[in-house]
Amino acid sequence: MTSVLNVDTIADKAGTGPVALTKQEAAKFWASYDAVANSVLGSFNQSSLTDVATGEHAFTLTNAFSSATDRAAFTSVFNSINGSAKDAGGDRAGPAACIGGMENFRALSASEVYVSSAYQARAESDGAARDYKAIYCTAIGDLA
Amino acid sequence: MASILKVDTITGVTTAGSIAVTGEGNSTTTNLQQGLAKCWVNFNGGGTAAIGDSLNAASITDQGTGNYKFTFTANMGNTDFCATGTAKETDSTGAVNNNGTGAMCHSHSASTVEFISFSPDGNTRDCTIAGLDIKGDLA
Repeated sequence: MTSVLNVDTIADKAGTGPVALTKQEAAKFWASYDAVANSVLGSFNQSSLTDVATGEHAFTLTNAFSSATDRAAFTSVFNSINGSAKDAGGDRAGPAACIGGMENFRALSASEVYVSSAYQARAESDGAARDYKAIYCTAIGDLA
Repeated sequence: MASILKVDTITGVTTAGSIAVTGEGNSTTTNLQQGLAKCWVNFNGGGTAAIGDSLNAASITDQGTGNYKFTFTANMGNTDFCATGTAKETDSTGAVNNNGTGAMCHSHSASTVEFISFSPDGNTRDCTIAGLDIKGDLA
């Protein structure tokens, strides 16, 4: 017989701590961001976005992580300025993105996920910071 | 003594698709559904593109060199989902290609996601080891 549990909130036996998701863990943050329009399309646990500079984006979290470093964050971009066709010619050089400042140092923060995006530095491009139409990032770790 | 609840399905009472779980610091709650990956794929894009293992991926379509489209089994609720991916290429002996391979994804539609692998000069390039992760709202 299939069992179904209907519940709004799940806590540990004491009622104050987290339950274990056996051998797995849920992400604590994700965002889909259009840096050209400076618009967050979709997000989870994100309260605000600061467009720091071209290719420099700071996501402020609603609930902070317990640590600035004991977490894992991932990011991907799509090298299009219109959201559908890929760039051509010199603009097509593979996009690069990273967690943390690429051109400007910025200390990691438990309450922020900082993403940088740029052209890759090859003959067709200069590695300069660039805003992309689609920037995605996600993070996993312990909440404060 | 640790307690274990054994159940097949968990559904929200107030909102069926929304369950809060207590965070690790015991001071906040986080939404369980929003933190779960809605699709993930491990695939080989070299030769005949093939999915190795996956969740919620019905098929892979090879759209050309380094260009792949995945069709979801259960659609996303919109095109605002978060798609991250990574890729690399190995040669026929399995050695990593020194030209390197990057990857980018795009949430073009609620039923598919596009994945492109490329070399640093921006030319699309088939990848042989790649991963894709989707977070967002299911339909």
